[in-house]
Amino acid sequence: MMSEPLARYVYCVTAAGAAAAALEGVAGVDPRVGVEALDHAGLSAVVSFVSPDQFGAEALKRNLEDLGWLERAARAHQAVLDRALAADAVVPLRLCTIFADDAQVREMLERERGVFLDALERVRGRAEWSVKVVADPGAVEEAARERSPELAALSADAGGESPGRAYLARKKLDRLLQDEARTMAETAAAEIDARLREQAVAATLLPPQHPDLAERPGDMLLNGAYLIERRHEAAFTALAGELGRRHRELGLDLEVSGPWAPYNFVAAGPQR
Amino acid sequence: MTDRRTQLAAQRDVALVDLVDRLLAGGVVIVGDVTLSLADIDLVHLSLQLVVGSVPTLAGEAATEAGDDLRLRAV
Repeated sequence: MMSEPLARYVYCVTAAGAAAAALEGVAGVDPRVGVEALDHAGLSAVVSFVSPDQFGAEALKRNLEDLGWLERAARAHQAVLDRALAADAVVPLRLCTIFADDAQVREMLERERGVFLDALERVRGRAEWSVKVVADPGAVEEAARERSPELAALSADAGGESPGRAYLARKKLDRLLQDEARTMAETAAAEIDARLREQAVAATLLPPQHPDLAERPGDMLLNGAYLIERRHEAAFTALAGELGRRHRELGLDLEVSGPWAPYNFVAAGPQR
Repeated sequence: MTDRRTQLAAQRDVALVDLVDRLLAGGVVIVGDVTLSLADIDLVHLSLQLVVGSVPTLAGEAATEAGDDLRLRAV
């Protein structure tokens, strides 16, 4: 069936023996093939066989252009990471990290051993949580109008008797309202981030998502990733829930997801 | 364990864009025998944009920033 030898897809690295049991029966990015743990040098690479027809350099380039293919691969990769994370600390690798064979995987584990051991140490007992703040511009302006005495007075003038005064007031109001709303929402998002960081071991800001791709319409003001002690996860989600409730009337929506494997806290180099 | 069930339920709802945020922009970058080149990743962003059709200016800037960020992380 296969003309070329199968390659090895690597999902993540754990301590040796840590995830093998949890990975039994879990399918890989090729749904017909299960994932395994490949132990070497005190580490364990979570791997599965993939066909060069799908994951070779040329095929990969083509397949990554196919959103359906990308989504299936991403969800399978993520499912493997979830299972491994439930068992022990994991260092996630970027999607589609592929080696020719087991020998190449072992060589990589040896070469990168220091990086992996450092990262495992840093993320053990912890998981990544995502908190996004999305503003509904209309609702934020409404909230800003209610909260600022100056804007409230201008609003009254804008709806007043004198046409000339009303026109000028409305123009000034629109400008002020937009500024005020923006400042209010950004300040609130920064405060939310600061409160969440108090409970985090580390935190980092991701670029805001494309508004058309994000699940909710609106302006993404915060796309934060927080590294949280697993025993403090309940407290963290409770805090996020409370911050969400408190900011809803300002027109801000908090979206929490997790636990994620620590994708944003394993890169070598300085951590924030 | 209730925790585990909650987690699995939550994961089903994860949006593709959230996965891309982490699986392509995060994680340790190891040079394998077949490696996603930076150009490939830009292509992924490109196809994501194509899917949503016309891209407003502000959104275009955000997407460019995301692309730049990927490049920085990968170096």
